[in-house]
Amino acid sequence: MSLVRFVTRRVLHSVPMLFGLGTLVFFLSRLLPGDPVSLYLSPGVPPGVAEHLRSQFGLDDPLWEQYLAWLSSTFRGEWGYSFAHGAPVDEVLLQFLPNTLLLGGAALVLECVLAFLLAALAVRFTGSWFDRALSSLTLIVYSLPSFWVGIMLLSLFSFSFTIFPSSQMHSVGGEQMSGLAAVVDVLKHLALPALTVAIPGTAVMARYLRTSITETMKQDYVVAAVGMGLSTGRVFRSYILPNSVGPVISVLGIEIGVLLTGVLVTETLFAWPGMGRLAVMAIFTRDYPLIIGCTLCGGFLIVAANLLADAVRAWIDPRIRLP
Amino acid sequence: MGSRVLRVLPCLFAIALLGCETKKEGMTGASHRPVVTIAIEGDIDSFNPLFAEDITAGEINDLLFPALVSSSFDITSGELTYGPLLARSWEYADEGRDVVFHLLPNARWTDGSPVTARDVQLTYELYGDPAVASVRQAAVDNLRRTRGELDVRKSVEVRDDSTVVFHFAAASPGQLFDAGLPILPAHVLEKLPRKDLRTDPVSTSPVSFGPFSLARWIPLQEVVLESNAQSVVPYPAKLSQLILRIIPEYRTRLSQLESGEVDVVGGIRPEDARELTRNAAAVEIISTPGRDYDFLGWNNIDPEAAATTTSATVKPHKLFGSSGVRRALTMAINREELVEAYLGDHGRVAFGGISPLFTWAYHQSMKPLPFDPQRSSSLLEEEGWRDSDGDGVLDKNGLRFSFVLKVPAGNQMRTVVAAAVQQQLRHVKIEMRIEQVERATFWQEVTMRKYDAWLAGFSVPLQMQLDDLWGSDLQKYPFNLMGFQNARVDSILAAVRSLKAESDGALLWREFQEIVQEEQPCTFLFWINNIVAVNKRVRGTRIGVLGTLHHAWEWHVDTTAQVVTAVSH
Amino acid sequence: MKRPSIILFGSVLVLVSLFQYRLIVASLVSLVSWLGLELGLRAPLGSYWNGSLFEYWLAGIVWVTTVLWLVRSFIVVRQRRSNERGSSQGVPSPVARVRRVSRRIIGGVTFVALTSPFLTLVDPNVQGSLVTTRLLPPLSTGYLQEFPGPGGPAHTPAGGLRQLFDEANDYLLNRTVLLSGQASEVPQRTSQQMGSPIRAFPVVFLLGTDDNARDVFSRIIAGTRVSLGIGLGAALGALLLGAAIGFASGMSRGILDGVLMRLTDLFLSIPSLFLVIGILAFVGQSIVTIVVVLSVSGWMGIARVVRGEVVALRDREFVLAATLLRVSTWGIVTRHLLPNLWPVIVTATVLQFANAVLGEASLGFLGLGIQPPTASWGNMMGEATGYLGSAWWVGVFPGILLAAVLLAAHSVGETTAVDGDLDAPADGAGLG
Repeated sequence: MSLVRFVTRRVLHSVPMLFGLGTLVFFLSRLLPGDPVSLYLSPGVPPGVAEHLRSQFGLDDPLWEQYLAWLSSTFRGEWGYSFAHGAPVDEVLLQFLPNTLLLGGAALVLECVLAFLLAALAVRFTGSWFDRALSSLTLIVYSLPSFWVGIMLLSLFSFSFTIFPSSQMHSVGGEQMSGLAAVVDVLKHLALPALTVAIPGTAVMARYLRTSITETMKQDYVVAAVGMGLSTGRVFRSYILPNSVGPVISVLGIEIGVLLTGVLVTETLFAWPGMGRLAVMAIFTRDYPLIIGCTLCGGFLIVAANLLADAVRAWIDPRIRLP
Repeated sequence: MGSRVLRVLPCLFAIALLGCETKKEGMTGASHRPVVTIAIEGDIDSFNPLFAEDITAGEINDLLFPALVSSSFDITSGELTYGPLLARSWEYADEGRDVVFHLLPNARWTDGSPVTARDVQLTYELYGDPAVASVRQAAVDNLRRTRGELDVRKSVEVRDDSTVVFHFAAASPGQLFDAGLPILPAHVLEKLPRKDLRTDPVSTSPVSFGPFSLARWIPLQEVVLESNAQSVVPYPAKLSQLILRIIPEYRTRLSQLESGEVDVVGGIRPEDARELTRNAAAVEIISTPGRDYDFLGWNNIDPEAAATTTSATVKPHKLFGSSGVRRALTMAINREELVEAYLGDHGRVAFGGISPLFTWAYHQSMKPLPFDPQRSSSLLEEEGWRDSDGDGVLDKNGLRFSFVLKVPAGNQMRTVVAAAVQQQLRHVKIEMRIEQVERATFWQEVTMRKYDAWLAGFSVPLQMQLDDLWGSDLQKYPFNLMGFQNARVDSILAAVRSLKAESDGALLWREFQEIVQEEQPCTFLFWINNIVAVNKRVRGTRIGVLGTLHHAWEWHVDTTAQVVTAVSH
Repeated sequence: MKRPSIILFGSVLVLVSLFQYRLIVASLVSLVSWLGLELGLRAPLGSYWNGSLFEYWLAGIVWVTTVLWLVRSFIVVRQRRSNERGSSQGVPSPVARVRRVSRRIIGGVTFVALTSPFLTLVDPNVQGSLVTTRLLPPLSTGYLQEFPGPGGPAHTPAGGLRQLFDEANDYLLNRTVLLSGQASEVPQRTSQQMGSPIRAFPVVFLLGTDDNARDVFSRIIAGTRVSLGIGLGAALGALLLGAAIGFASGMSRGILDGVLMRLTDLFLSIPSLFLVIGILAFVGQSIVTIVVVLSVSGWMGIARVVRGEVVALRDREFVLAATLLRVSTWGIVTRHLLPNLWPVIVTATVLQFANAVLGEASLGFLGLGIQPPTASWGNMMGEATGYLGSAWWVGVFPGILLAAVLLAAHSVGETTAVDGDLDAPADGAGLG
């Protein structure tokens, strides 16, 4: 019951947050120097066009009027038209959001699996060369820029060995494929970018998990459980694991948020049509409605992700009393 | 725990197996359906010529919506020439002020409706309508006004379904250029409210009549153009499909070119062009000079007194207000070395403000200011700049010769060149700091003349239209970034506007270049070639001054000799 | 320190000193004469002050201190050996060994950061001849010539401390270094009467040159201070912000917790590029701004992790016990929660440090970071993306060095955490 209340409470609290986010971004984006119209101008375009464009975009009204207009249309569910794409913002978002969710989801799965494997192995062989190597390796890998890792993977698996395709989501004519062939095609294109995105996250989670497991293993109840004669596997599953996933879940919450708002560098490198690139291009072209749209979308996903993380954490650890 | 590991392994194995089957993309159609793939950097902004800003979008729209006339650029004479396209013939009337176009009688839109003179008329109405806010509004500037007002319906007159008359204000060499814009479908667009045209879905699924039609557009991924079997303007494209893949990462575009996945890549860097010529036998390099140049802009006027002033109240810039100082700056920079290091054969030193493409106007005998730091220092000293406090930086009346160079972010070569210039200026005791500014911010602030100095680049139009860059009316011409004002230049610009043929103005333009050289309002750096790499299996390309996709309906694929890539890494 | 290492380190110092003695002497002279002038309350130095002087002074102080310390260590070790002759030292434990190595790396890097003006054998910002020295692979050769400065302002009271000060500064700040592919190129590139060079010799570009014909090795050394400074600053900034918010949120129940966590969500939702462009546009570009930007975009992760842990621990017995004993909230936080959170916090901070340096690289990638010609590992890595296939040396070496530094930092941090954990008051589970 408290879980339900917790979730409802969180949702209620998040609504003003999203509202505040939208307002903040609305004003901040207009405060940024440069305006969307200046990018349309070049020698040969008469300056009068700028005025016409501004009035078409609704930018010549006083700021408060623009804000109120935005408020009322957002509440009605109309998120406006993107300047650069000339299409409704929600349509544009819908074109890119599934791709990001796909990439983010795949990366997340990879991260959890790999982090768990690595941490468990490290703990199993604590103090051995594997443990130390893992420790060093995760840090090295985390400190490498992701474009680097991506380019390494590209060079190795795409250019040298042509195992995986080097860019985009589909092969040429891929959208015409149906059924299993289409799924396999997308998966092939997904492999490298998902791996690239997953690697820093894996490093982070593996480290937190390993630290956490090591800490938990020192606890008295674990010692007691072993002393009672329970098998290692049982001790690990029932005593150590639930108590050590705490910090990892918190990190996971952030990680989900990051992944779902799109990872610009990887998307650019692999030409993956995702939200990261969309948001950055919107900022560079001062496409105000799209900036707000992307931010609100991202905000919503982050709230959902953190809610999930907190709820899972509370479920695992009954000692945490939900507020 | 061991079992967990074992469970994961088969999954990884399966994924690897799946991967092994991949075929080279783009090769599927090679044998029986001629398909050419182009890799481009950014997405298309619009399939409506009214609104498309991006260069590639413009080229695509030219293929979808042909114009009345087709243009070519004659390299030897340096002039634009025109041939029939939608208009099968035309003649002049009323002492050259009117042009009567006879349209092809059987041209049809992809939805079956015939292409008529009404389409031409409505197109120009839309280009010129402020409510539409098209960036090509200038297209109607030269049309005749009735009682001082522009009524496009009168100036672009429909005589009958296949005859349209353009009434210009005066006979000028630019008439066919103005009449050469892409033509839009009246029956689709006239019903739509003008101010909402930009956001109307008609821009994303256009009704067209050109040799290609838009088969598919997947945002941020690809654009697929298909041959339009009904087209008579001039004929259905020889290729069955032309695919543009959006790949933002330069290195990936390059490797896809080398592996044969894509056939055409533009914007190749000079050092990579050298590599490709050496290693990739199947790739041909086409280097087009003379359209883009970079320059160091010196704000001739004081930024505080700039913005909205007329020439009466403008104050010269404290550092760059004098032409002597500007000439000294140019002579302190070793442009030859920059070209040799960063461009090689694909660029040349720029000066004078007119592209070498325009052979009739280019000042063949004038040479750029030489690299001569000694002369530069003495010129600066003549202007009163000395290092009186021994801090290594020139000063005059307490003002140090120190300024910030703003560079729009995102262009690697410009950053590198700026750093090189910084060092060269330090040798003449000028202190320059570099600040990279994000593009949108940069262009807004530089057109407001807020900066002291900047490094930017322009693309020259194929018509000799230089008013926007050099006209003295600073408010009317925000792209006169330097705030350059010269009465003689103004009269030259006015004089060439009323000439019968462009090449009549050769002498005037020569004088223009001499004035620019003397006044040195900015330091022209170099002309940068546009380097395009094309796989040799693609034939019939006319890649050059008019763009990559120019006359792309002539492209075809050499199916007799399958040219296999032979890249040695 | 053991004797071999002292000797090794000492020899390196001696070699560099011999090579760079002019710089070192000039720095020391400049510092000493300035002190003399200030203390003697002579004529004010006014407009001749230059911020770069401080770098040289700092480098000089650190250099002298290090030399003295080395000498002292050497003497001490000698004495100890003569005292403890025969007693065998036990093999140090693996932990201690790792710790020692890491401490050495950190110490070494700090030393490099502080004395970089002396260690960069070729000036990091000087560009060689673009045509011949651009993008040379590692171990290529070139030619260097160094010319004196113009001579400083003329002063009526010539002689004495003031003259020494001016001459030293003139050498430090105004000397000109010219690089080229061969000796013969240089005279053509000088712009004015340079006089004869102070020194001229062939150089080896240890790690190659970049696209502006600058020595990569020198730039890496010069970039150490910038990048580490930014990384540390941003990590600490993020830590302070994140820990404060995390603790505040975790310890309170109800409204404040909710508000702070929603604030965290808010900041996570705003695209960081947005914050970057906005802050940079308003405050201008400088190292401080970049640190602020990176801190502000990085504290959220730490805050959430800290809050999560605090929430888990706050209902534990030892905390309840402390509350009953009327220990203040601050006391609970510092003496009970912090030690238990320490490992997690250290992990988070070290990761944030890595994040910050990489963030600086992304900023460099976008052109919004440290501006040229200043070197930083971040902007070197950012520039390198265009050259990865060809001139790999431009970006690989900063990355390697960064990885090494992070490894060392983490090892020190982790082993400190281990020790810290043993010393802190344990959670109440250790009854008795």
